[in-house]
Amino acid sequence: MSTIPICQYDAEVLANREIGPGLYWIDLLAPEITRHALPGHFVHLIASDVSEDSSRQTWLRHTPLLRRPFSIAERDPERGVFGLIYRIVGGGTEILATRRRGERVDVLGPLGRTFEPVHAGRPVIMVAGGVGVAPFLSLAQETVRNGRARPAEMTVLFGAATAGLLSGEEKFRALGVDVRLATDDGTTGHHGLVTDLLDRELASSPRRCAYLYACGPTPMMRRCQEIAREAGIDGQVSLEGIMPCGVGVCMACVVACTAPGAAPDAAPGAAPDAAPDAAPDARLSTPRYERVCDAGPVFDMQEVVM
Amino acid sequence: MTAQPDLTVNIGALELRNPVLAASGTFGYGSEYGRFVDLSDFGGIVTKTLTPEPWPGNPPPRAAETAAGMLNSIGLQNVGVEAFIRDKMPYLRNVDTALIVNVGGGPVEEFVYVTERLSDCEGIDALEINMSCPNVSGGMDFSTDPGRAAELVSTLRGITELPLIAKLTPNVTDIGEIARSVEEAGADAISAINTLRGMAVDIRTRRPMLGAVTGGLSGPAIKPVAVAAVYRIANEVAVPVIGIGGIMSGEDAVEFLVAGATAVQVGTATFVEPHAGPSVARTLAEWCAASDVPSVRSLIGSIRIPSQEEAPCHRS
Repeated sequence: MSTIPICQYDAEVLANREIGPGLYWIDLLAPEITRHALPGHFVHLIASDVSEDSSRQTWLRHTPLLRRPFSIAERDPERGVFGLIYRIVGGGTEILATRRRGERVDVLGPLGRTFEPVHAGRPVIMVAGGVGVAPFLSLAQETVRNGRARPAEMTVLFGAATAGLLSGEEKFRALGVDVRLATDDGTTGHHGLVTDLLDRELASSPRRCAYLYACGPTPMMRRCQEIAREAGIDGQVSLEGIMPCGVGVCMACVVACTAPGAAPDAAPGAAPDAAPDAAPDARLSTPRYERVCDAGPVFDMQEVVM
Repeated sequence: MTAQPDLTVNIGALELRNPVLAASGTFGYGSEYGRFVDLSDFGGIVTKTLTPEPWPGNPPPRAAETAAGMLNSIGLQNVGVEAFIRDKMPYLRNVDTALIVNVGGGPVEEFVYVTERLSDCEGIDALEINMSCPNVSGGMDFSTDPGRAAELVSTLRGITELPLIAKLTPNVTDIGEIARSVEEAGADAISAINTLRGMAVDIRTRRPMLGAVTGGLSGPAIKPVAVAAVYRIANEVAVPVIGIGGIMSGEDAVEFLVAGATAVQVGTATFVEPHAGPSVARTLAEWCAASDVPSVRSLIGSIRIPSQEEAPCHRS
């Protein structure tokens, strides 16, 4: 459980604009959340208008019912503002896209486990798929802001279905971070998978990657896991999950993990004699489920079963 | 206007400062929400179901949102009773609210083991028996059969002095019959309802939305089912009934009390709004004050069922 204070805010919407087809950027004013947020943190928000002066019945105000988690993509501590990227994928994001400047959004955060910081002398690659780019915008921005590493020590490999969904890449370039693009339809960059770029990068200049981060669709992260394992590179992934509570209570957003960890909350229920180095299949038969919201969303790359 | 309505209620020997409890499975072990919610604003909290050993739970996905509700199939993932006593009780003992610990298991012996361990543990005010978890095979059986329900309650009654609250499933033909049997077996109170069995399908992939295929439905969607269950149970038994199901506001709590509940539990609403419990208690007090109700106890079972003569009747 994180020791960073959890804040709940009626955050003012400062901007909410479409930055690609069905892709949005929202800026929210929430000074306390912004102040404490670190790269990898997420917020849990209510998409609809739940203000008490709403004339609708309580349950109608709460349609859709549950909060939605989003990785923090950018923060401006001076103004107390953080930004999120989202794509319309269902009822929650559809309503979020209708929220206007000046309206309030109920936000809980910052939540979850954060990234291992980038530091000088250890070049990193970040592999982003679609809106999975969000936490890496934060990570790159904070790294440059704190002077922890030079921008040249970070490489971003960013893939999406089509060029219009690669919005955000210009922010990396503005920071001086090298970005390589891939699209499924070939509209820009490499015509194919972003993980092809990772293969290519590791083959051509292996010393440019001492640590690997990945966030995106599960097949992408699974491939990153394989590549990292083969290359002997440590790293982290940032996951998402169906997350009713967001604070470690409901046990819904779990992911199966391979190795027995330190977290006592998730000890396996049987087979105390199972060897820690047992085959993956054997380890899965006595699963250890970790909460994405609390033990994650950032996990060690080889820890999760994807 | 009544300035300060009396919110205290009694569940057997246990007095609650207000009738709003946090429901089991939606409030962890207290400390998670305790980071930013004042737990003393609750009448009490009910902790996540405990089994003798730590339990891994069901494969994900474990939750899916549905119309005005959610499905879950957590499968009782919990730390086990020993870790609870060792790691969670030191915090919970210092929380200024009633502590009700939810007890679960597969066979009766597991309920017995957990109950015995908790009965030796200082700081627990009551036990709630999860006779009806829809997500663990076997758990359902205890509260779908009046005989087995009574057997479990009387066994536990014989080994603990703590007040026992039997939590019942709505997935039965007549919940009133089950309620009568657990009352006769020695339950001090009855809480209802646990989740309704439900299922949702992703029509694009034709896969179930839950890893366990079916799960339990909760949230505002189930409130009318819960109110009907509470009304039925309250007419069948003398022990207090604790209403659970879709409570989001003080008005919802009033509805349950009028239908026969002595207290309520707030569950899914807490996921949406972490302060939902305290907010329900506060708006319940405001409603009482505005409605000239000096004590919430006067609301309990105060439903007015129109008589045949009063009922609107259209004659030709």
